[in-house]
Amino acid sequence: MTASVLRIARHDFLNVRRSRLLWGVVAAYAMFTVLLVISGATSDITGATQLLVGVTGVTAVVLPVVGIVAGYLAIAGEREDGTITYRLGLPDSRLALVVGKLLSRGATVMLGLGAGFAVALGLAFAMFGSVDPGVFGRFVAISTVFALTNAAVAVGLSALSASRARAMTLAGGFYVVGDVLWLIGSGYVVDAVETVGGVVGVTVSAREAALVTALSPVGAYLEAMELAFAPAEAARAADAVPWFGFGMLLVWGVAVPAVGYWRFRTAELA
Amino acid sequence: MAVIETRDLTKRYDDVVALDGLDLTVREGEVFGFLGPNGAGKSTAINILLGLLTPTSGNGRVLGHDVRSESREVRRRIGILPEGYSTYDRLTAREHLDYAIAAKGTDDDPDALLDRTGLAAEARDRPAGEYSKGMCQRLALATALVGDPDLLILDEPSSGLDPSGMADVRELVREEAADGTTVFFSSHLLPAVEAVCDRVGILRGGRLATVDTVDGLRQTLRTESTLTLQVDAEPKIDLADIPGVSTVTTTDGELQVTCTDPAAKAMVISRVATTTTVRDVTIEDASLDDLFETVTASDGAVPEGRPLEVDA
Repeated sequence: MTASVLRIARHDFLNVRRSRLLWGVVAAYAMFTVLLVISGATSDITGATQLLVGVTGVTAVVLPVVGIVAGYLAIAGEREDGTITYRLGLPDSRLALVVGKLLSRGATVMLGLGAGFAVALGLAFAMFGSVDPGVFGRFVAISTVFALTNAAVAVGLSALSASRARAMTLAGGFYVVGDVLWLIGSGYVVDAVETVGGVVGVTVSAREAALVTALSPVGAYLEAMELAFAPAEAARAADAVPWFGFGMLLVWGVAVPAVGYWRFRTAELA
Repeated sequence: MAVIETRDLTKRYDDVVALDGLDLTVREGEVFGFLGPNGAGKSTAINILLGLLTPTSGNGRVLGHDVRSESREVRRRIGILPEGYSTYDRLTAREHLDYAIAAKGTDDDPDALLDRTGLAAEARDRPAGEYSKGMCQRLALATALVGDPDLLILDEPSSGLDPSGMADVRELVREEAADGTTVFFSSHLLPAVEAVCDRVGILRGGRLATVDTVDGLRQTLRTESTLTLQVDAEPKIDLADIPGVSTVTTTDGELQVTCTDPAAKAMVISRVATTTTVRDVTIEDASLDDLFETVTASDGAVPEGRPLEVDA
């Protein structure tokens, strides 16, 4: 099983490496980083940490795109073009295929992000002269987990899809609802929960409201970011739930691929 | 032991029955032709054997392994040239084979395999996206040979190949068969199948209409080819004693001979040529469509009262 997974991952990574996909992801992220740093420089930001705090609002929207682009065709693409028939004519299990794809697409994301973060680090040094390595390291780590979560969700949705179009619809829907709309309207969700709570006579605390907000990946990411900027618990807001957020990122990253595999296991592949 | 054995294998989609209770037995060491028009259910059957599709009912065993619960074991021991596969555009032939060899855990030499299927040496390190359909087919065939499988399943192997490529495939099938490999050869083209197969099963409408040897099938079906010779003078010889000649008719300058044995044709021509000048020869074979018509006449019943062969 392990050998099978690693061989599939290596093979897929080789294929992806030669596609424009990876370089598109790398270039998009690096360009975006440069833009951010430059726009940060024109404002009144004076330190690297301050810049990163400002950047988080934007990575929350951009990193999911990186992850989703890297993952959404992982399996549906092979089903649509027929390469899956070549692959599964060989004695590998469908589970090994899904896990191998998670690994290779995860590696793709990490490589793309690594390039982007390296550019960001260089620019921050050039502009501010110093960067807090702890803050930067944690920012990078949590952001990477967030991007990986989105890539895993995209691979999971890809496993649910028989065609590229369907995979695109599901992944796009996930991004719009789970990221963009959630950023704009999670307050309404909290309002709704409070209303329902009021009807049954339960008061929703600020901390509980934060838990609700952190249910979606982007809410979870923003909560988890507290771990980067305020690692000491005393320094955090009383209602912050950073570890819950971090946990939710992992839950999304595991649950969607699991559902995807569960459906893919018995899917008709011809 | 039967290499492929299916019992009442059925695949139903919403309102279409793709496979309707297929009972099939392929014996060890034989080359079995799986013949049928497009849409007859050949690929459906093969894809079930490969584990790509789940049967609605019935079961199948390949080399003693259940195709549903032991699919990996099945795929470990067979070589497959599937239908509707695609190679990886950005990977070279060598990389495809390295992957397949690792997947099967064998130590095959990619070049030796590609030599056998005839993919040119200079193409082996180019990405498969630049290959023609025929080159992809040669790569996929080489993949099927990885690990010296006990059973080779070829689904429309001649598609995308020119006549010389088809001859290469036949040669390969003969080599493999001589080596003891069982070959399951699916095609909608009779010539592709009859040249190499020991037995042929004809599938129509998701059911096996008949199973027989190629010769037996021809006899059963009375498939005849008509030989028309333009002659200067009516030959004063008897052709009816040539084995396989069924009727001889002469109409001004034209001799029509129907043969049930392909070998009779050459004998007819050479004998007529000894007595008169043959100006032209045309041969009209019964087409496979005619064959299917005959086989499936009166709602799938087997003609001539010949029972559907079922092997124990």
